[in-house]
Amino acid sequence: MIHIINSHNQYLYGDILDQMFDLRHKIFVEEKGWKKLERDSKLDIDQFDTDDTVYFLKLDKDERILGGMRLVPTSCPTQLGTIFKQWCHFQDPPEAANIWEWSRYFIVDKKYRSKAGYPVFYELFFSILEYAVHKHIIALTGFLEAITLPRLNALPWEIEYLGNIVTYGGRNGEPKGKGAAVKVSVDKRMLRITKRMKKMTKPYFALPLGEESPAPHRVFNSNVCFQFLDFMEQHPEHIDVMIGIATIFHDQRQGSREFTREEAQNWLSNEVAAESYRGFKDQAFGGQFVLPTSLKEQ
Amino acid sequence: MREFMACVGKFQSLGDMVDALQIPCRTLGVHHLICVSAFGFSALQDRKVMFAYLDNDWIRHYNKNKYYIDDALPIGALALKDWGEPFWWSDFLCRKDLTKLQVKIFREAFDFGLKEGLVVPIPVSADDENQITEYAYVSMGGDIVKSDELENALRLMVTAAHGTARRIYLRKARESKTGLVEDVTGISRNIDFSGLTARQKEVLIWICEGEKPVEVADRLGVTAGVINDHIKTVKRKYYFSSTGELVKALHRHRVFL
Repeated sequence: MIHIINSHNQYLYGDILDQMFDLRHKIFVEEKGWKKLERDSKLDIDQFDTDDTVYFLKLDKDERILGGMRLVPTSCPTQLGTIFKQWCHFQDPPEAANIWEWSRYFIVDKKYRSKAGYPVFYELFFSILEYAVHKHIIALTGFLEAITLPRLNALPWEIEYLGNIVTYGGRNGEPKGKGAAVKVSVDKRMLRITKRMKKMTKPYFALPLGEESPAPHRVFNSNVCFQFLDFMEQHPEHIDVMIGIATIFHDQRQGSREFTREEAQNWLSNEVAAESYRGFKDQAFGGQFVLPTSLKEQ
Repeated sequence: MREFMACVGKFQSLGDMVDALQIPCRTLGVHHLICVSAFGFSALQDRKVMFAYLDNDWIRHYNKNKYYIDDALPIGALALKDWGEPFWWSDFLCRKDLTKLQVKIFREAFDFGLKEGLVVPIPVSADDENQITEYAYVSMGGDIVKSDELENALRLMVTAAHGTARRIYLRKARESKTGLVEDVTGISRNIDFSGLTARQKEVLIWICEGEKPVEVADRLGVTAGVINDHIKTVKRKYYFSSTGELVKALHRHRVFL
């Protein structure tokens, strides 16, 4: 399942991000030969890995990383806006809070299929599209390998090429390849049609609670996941409430598939209620928790 | 090129798109370009050419000599089974398995001003196993010289143009009552006979051999009416007005060779 990790919840993920940086170093430097990214620390961390960066990681049930990607808002420094700026021949790379750049896409196991039958790259791409729609991001930018460009023709996406195809690498033992900078518009309709085309009907998000998640191997509707993320961003002090709610939800809904959107909104949008019941985590984990009347009425 | 790339996604008709595509391509020396949907794009049905602007002198000569049967380029382009990289005609010509006629076609193309060319494979979609399920290619030539920059520019433009053409075709297919797209290229159709059933093939083999429906009926132990029904179904499916036309097309496409 896909875990979304940002600056608000990364402390819940222990060393997962370090594992990712280590894996990126292995893939991009040691396997693909990108010497420029080589670090003594053997961790691929660059200037675009900041507090504004959002990571999308596909983890299996043993917490192994199977693939990943990152999103960076173009209002911050991005690859296309800085080191690849000369590759945007047709128009300047966008700089806006509602346009984000994806990069560092990697897949460890191309043959892996989730329980729902989805390959890793499907879950990764759909998770960033869903996240983008939820966050009112209107477009995603990135540098794509030339060989993948024809694939875009089969998708109902509005694509702008920011630059010509360029030939990169080929010096000092670096891999040679071709690619182009693109901008893809994102909206609800595009997401809906693409999901239908690719038959993505089942959920694939994990609760973004890392090691504290009471249901680490269960998948959740994207709305639930995003409600948790939003609440953590707005009320980082109430993380225990989040964990408690997730636990109650998990305990009470064993066997049911997902938390409905309405339920999630009821639970998470009421700050007062949430604050009033801080500390119920221990009760909930102890199996003694009784749903408070006032919350039932919400 | 910048102007074309700025508006390529906005064209509503193939004609407008091809007109616009010609400007940068001709500036780069390309005066013959054809995009063929090889398989997997059902909106086109039996037609394969998606968009083109042709060197008329060359194409007249090409059709007159029936070079479409032996031309190595379409055969080579169709043989790609991976996510192929573009290849230049001159590189292709170095292959040792070309027949004398295939080499002659290249030589004559050169004499007609198509001195060099590029084939850009467009593998559009794949299944979960990464097997390609929709594939097209663009072949283009002219007074050009092989270079990486030219390859990159042409590759991007034709890939983007293919995406727009595909959208236009899909829209037209949705709007039409039959789900078929009318021939908007004006180029003679290239027919995909892979949709024939085993029984239809059995009947047509004998018809192509010159037998009459009654004789085929005797061979297969059915009535002549059944054989005529099979032939009518195929003619209707592939839009042939006469059996003679159908037989010619089957021969031309070497369906039973």
